Amino acid sequence: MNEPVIPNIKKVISLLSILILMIISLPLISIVLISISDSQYLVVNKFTFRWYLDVFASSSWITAGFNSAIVALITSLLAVLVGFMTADGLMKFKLQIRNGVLQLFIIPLITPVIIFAVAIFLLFSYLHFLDNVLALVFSQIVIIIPISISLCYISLIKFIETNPNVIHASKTMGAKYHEILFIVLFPNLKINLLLIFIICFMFSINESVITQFISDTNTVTLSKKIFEGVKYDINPEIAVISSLSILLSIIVYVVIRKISGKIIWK
Amino acid sequence: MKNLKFLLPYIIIYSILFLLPVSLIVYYSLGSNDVSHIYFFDVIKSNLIREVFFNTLLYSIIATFITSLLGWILGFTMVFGSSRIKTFTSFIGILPLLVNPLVIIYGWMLVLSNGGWVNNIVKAIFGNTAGLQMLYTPQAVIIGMVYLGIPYMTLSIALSMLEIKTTILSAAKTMGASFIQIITKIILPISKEGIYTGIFFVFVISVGYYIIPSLLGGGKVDFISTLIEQNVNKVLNWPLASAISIWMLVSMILMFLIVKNILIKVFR
Repeated sequence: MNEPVIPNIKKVISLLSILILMIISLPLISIVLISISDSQYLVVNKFTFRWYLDVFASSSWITAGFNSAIVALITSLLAVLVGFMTADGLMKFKLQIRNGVLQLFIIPLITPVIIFAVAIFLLFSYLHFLDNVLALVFSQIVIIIPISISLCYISLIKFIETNPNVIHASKTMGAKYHEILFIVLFPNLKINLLLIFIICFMFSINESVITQFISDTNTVTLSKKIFEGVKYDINPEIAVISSLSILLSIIVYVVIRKISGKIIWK
Repeated sequence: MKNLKFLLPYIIIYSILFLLPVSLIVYYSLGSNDVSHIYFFDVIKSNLIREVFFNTLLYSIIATFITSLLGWILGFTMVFGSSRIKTFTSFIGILPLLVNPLVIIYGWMLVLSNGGWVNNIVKAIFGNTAGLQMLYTPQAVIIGMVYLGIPYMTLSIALSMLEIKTTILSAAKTMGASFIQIITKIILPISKEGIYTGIFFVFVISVGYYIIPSLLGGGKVDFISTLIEQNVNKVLNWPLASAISIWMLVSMILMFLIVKNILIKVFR
């Protein structure tokens, strides 16, 4: 009796979603349009790639991109390494202790970033350890590792659920810990680890609050430069960098979709 | 004890780079260099800071509320929509999570500014040549907060909705339940956990936003985080900045406990 009503309400919710999604894509589309438009405003008369050429010719943008990439690379590698180690270490504890410790470990993730940023800024300025790549890595790592720990933890739990006997079997066959790690866990979880690496990399390269405090003239990163550009002097170069950033995000999204098809928790 | 060695690297990082700095701001706020003046209590005495605290909480609550509504709609479509809409929703709905928040804010500045889309439409329809001032208002800040919160809310709600088996839904349908009944009796109770997690997470990040109020608010909308930043970088009053941070952390934990208890009572 109610059959005709059901599709209607479902359709209304779908339409609402499409409306929301259109509003969500509005600012992104505006950026791309302005980056290829000849004028600085949202009136598109003529298309041009002049601003793109300007950005690729400018050494300050290239340096900023290089700095960002270096920091993000070191941060996410360390995050995956420490995250996996910690998650694997947690598996050796009883369930209740494990959950408590895990909640304690991810506190940095739910602390407001500004508080942590100020705290680490005060510590580093006390130690005169500001404005270098390592300072950026050490400050970002604290909020990236918890992400990695929780994702590694989920992966390990799912792996053990789907293959409950593999680790036990390899232990009875006399495998040492490092053998289990390199022969059993890494090959089976390599896609998960790659995915976690990509997620950590994106979080690190997009981090923009801690960077404002730690980075200065020697280590200008993309986030720092975009922030200053948006705040003090909006120019088409910002639109170009932003469009490139959107493009990178789309590529990463597609890659994540592709590889998560083969993933263990699927 | 043998098991602890795997946790050791993170425990070292955690203590040196997280616990130590946070204890440092506690130390600063309790008057590190001048024992006669304790900044910790300046925070409650100042009218300005109290007002900023109130505004931050108010805007965050409004933003979290709007985010939870929109996130629920998107989450529902992501799980129960037809396949093409599903793909589209998960693409556009999650993309803001991967894009640099600064880029998104820049996009909203383009949209909301005086020469932006919205104002051009307003001018064309109403013939109002001055346009609306939308940038640098609390509304703009709330829009930014909702935008950045949506992916987290959507994901969290969609994940909890995935647990609903389609067999239960078709069973309810054959028993003659209306769509509203299916939503209120089955989908809402099961997706409750996801809504809690989403609300908690979005509220926490909303209160802590620094770049949104400082760029979309243009210095006219004060948030706790912008106040902290001003005291660190411009006024150079580090003890006061630390004191505000500690109050923010404590009040957030209290707010969270209160909100959580209220939510649990309301939904039960």
